[in-house]
Amino acid sequence: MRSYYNQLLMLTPVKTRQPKVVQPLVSREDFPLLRNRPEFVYLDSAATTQKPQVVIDTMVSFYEHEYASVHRGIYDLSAAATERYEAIRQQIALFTGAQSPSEIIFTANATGALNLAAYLLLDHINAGDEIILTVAEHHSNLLPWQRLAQIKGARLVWLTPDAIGCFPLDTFTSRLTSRTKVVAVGHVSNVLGYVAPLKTIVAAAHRVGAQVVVDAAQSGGHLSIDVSDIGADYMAFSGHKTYGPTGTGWLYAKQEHLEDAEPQLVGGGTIKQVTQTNTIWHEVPWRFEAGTPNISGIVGLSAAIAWLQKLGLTNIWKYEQQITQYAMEKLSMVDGLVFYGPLHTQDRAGILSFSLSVGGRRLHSHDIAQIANEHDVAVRGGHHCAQVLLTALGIPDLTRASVGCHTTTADIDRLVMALADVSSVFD
Amino acid sequence: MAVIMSVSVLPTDQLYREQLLDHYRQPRNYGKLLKYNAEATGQNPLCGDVVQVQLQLQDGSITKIGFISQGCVISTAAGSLLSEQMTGCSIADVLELRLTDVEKLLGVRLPLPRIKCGLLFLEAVQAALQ
Repeated sequence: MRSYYNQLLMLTPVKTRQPKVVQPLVSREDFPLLRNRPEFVYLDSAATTQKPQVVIDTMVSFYEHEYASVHRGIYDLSAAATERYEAIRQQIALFTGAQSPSEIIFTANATGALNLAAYLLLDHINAGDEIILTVAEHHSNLLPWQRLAQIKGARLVWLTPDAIGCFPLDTFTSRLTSRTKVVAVGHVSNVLGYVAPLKTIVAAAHRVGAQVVVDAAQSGGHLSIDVSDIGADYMAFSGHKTYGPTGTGWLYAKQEHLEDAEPQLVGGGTIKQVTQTNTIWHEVPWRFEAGTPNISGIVGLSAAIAWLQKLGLTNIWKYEQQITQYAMEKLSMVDGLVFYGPLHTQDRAGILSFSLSVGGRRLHSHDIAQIANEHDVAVRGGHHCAQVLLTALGIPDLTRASVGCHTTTADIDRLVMALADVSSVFD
Repeated sequence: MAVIMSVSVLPTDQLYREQLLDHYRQPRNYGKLLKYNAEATGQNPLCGDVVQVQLQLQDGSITKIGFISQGCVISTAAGSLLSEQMTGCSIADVLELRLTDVEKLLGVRLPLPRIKCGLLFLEAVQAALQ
């Protein structure tokens, strides 16, 4: 693995032509925070996205005029809130291509959705079974499987990204066995930015009788997803990375997996009837939503989804690819900068992780991010919840810049200026 | 000798000034000791900074320190500055050192996300002494 990335060092492209200008897709002014901080360059959308005005306005309006509990009250306000909540479930089902709203379970975030998926798979794993995952998985799509394997005595089978930092399709198919019960894969890697070939993975996994769990945290807000077409058994989505509020996310699960399943979190809202000795579970999906949900969050999420649909995810993806291409061309001209992840700019997410060396010494991402901060440019440093990946790459940390639909070429230029200052500080 | 300033007026914007960069580029007491009677490793799980400290102790004092590390400017400079200050100090005094002492040596108030960087070396030494 290490030698592959040494090869990568030599492959880092050096472009000498001027990158073309890209027209912005959305205005910065649509985002109150960016409007209030005109000089601020936000390049950490992979961590969380900034919120459009309409998302904030919708939540405030809900609290000011329509707020009441859901699934619980008889009075008009509660009935209306419940109807709205369920309409949002339907909206999300349509947005993601699910067969029915009962395949959508609201969770606090993608991490909650992945933990729920692992819980639902408890009965399907036995001692000696295998779970395939990649070393590039975010901790949230790694720890649930690690724990599941420990509890049931199953074996984890690790895949390593290929030489150019993409999902290793051929090693994957060769590691599938009759004992494989789960394949856990990130749709888009939060460090490497590759897009995994989900349909191919699902087809191969299903052939051996394995179920597929997809971490769609980094893809939901960037590219068009049709869960039925992809065919995965479970897909975990993040609300706050999809221009929605914090505390929102959802698990898509095929109906057949939920019908007889027991909930992970139990309590109010999950039952039809409770006695001292017996409980009858509620129908799907309410069975899996214990307690009062993040109602206002989901209302805000709905506004975000509608906003995304108006822009068109295909347009967003196309735009972000152009910005990513611009960024890669500009960043490849920075002396001592090495990318990690696919070097091609087609079908690669706007997630750019890199290391920077000055005077032959590899700088720490904390120092890079700190100096970038002094230029009002927000990038991320550290291990990005991917310690296993960084160990496999043989590096302690990475700096990551990630693109949102509001990112412009001017933002990238500011990043490059900040990196020039980093270089001069350490020269 | 580092200038000791009152913590409340320490700036936060001087992390990358020449003095700290000098300690980053050429950390004092860097390297493994041939002879030592205490050692410890410290790690910052947030970012992958690692430090390995070796100490020579005699009659309740630290007579020599050696450290190797992989880390950012703050953690490396703190190691360099602290190792200079600690050499010749009593174990008891070193065990009393805290974040504010590190900040005084660095000459800068550490922003919240960098505090662990500043404490990495100190905590490793204190662990080795216990």
